[in-house]
Amino acid sequence: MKDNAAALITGAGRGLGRALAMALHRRGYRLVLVARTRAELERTATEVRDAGGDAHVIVADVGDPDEAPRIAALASDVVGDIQLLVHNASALGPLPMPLLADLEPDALQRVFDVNLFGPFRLTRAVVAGMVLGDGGVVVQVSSDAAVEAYPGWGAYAASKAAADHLTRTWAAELAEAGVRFFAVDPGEMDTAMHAQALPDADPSTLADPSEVAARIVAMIDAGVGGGERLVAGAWERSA
Amino acid sequence: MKATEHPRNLGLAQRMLVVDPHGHRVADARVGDLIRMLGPGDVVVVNDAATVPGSIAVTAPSGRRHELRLVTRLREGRWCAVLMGEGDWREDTDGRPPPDALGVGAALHARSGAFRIHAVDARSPRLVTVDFVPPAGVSPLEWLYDVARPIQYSYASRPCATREVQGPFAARPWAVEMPSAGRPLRVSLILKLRAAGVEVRR
Repeated sequence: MKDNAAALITGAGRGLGRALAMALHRRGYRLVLVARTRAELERTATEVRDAGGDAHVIVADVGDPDEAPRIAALASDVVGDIQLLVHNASALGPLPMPLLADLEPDALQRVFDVNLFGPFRLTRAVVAGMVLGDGGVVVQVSSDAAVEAYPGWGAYAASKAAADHLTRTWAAELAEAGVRFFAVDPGEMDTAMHAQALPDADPSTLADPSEVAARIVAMIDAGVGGGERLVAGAWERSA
Repeated sequence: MKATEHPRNLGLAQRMLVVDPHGHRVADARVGDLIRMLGPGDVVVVNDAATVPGSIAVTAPSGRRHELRLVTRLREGRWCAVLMGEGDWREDTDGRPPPDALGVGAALHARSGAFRIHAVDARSPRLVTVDFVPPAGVSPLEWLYDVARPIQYSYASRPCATREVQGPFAARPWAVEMPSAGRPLRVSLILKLRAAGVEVRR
C-alpha cells in the first residue's frame, strides 16, 4: 500500500462503514467519510481522530446523480488522490420489504439509484485519478441476496447482483491499468440495517461488523482485486 | 456557423487541429488519431481540474440582485471574481447591467452566508476579490457547491448541471469552466497510448 494512502468510504456513519473506518485508520489510511447524516458521520470521525487518525466528512446522498462530482471534488481538495474506494452505502427499499408484485417501480429505481448508479458514478469520478496516479482498489459491498432468491428482497438483491457484475467488468477493463476491483458479501451483521430488514433476528447469531471489517482489510492487503466475489465469513488468506 | 446549444461531447470523433511547428504544417484530424501520431518518448498532459459551480446569485447591501462569477482561486476561501448586475446566463454578457459600486468590506449575501469584498480592481468595479463567509462548520468549497451553479452562457438552451461540465479526468476543484480541450479524451485512449509507450501526465 502506498504510504499515507487515502480511502473514501460511503455509508460511513454506522455499521460496517464505521467499522471499516476504524480498521482502515489502524492500517494507516487517511479517511474521507461519506453518509447522509452529519451527526453519525461526525461520531465516526471523532472516533477516528481520538485514535490519532485523519478523517474528513462529506454529507451526501450517493443516490443523487449530482452528488458524485461534488463528493469527488471535495475529497480531492482535502486528501488529494483516492487510493481506496469502498461502496458500502446501501438502500433496502420500502419497509416492510414487499413482494415484487407489490413493489412500486419508483421504489425499485430509488434502490438502484443508491446501490448501483451511485457507486457507478462515484467510481467513474475517482477511477481516472487512480489510472493516472498510483493505481487503486475499489471494493463493492455485496450480499448473499445477490445470489439467492429471497422473497421480499428483490429490489435490493437485483441491485447488488448488478453491482457485483459491474465489479467484474470494471476489473476486466482496468486490471492492466493498476486498478483492482472486488466485491465482498459481509454476511449477516449486527447492524441497524439488518435490524430494519429482519427485526426478529437474534443478535447473538449475527457477525460483529468490526470482525468483518478486519477481514475486508486483510483482503485488500492480500492483493485481492481481479473482480472476485468473496464471502467474508469463508475467506481465508492463502499462504 | 451552427451555434452550439449545449456542451457536446463527440469523444474520439472530435475534430482536432494538428500543428507541427517544426515542419510548418497544419492538418485536420480527429482525437482518436492520436494513437497513430504518438509513440515512445512522447508525452500527453491532461488537465485534471474539476469544474466547480462558479456562478452565484447574490444580494448587495442595496437589496439589488447581482450575479457573482468566480474567476481565479487565490487561496482557500478567497477568489477573484466578476460582479454583474441583474440577470443571469440567459442574457448576453455584454448586455448585463453594471453592478453597484461597492467598497471593501461590503457583503454580498447568498443563501446562508455571504461574500465579503476584499478588494475592488482599479480598472473596473466589475472585477473584485471576495472572501467567502460560509455558515459555521461548513468549508468554503462545500458551501460553494451548495449555493452556486455552473457558469454558462446565453447560447445554451437549458441550465447545465455541475455533473455535465466535468472533463474526463476531473479531480482537483479549481476550474470555473470546463477544461474543454480534454473533454473528447477517453480513458480507453489513454490506456492505448500508455500501452504504446506514450507517457500520460496530469
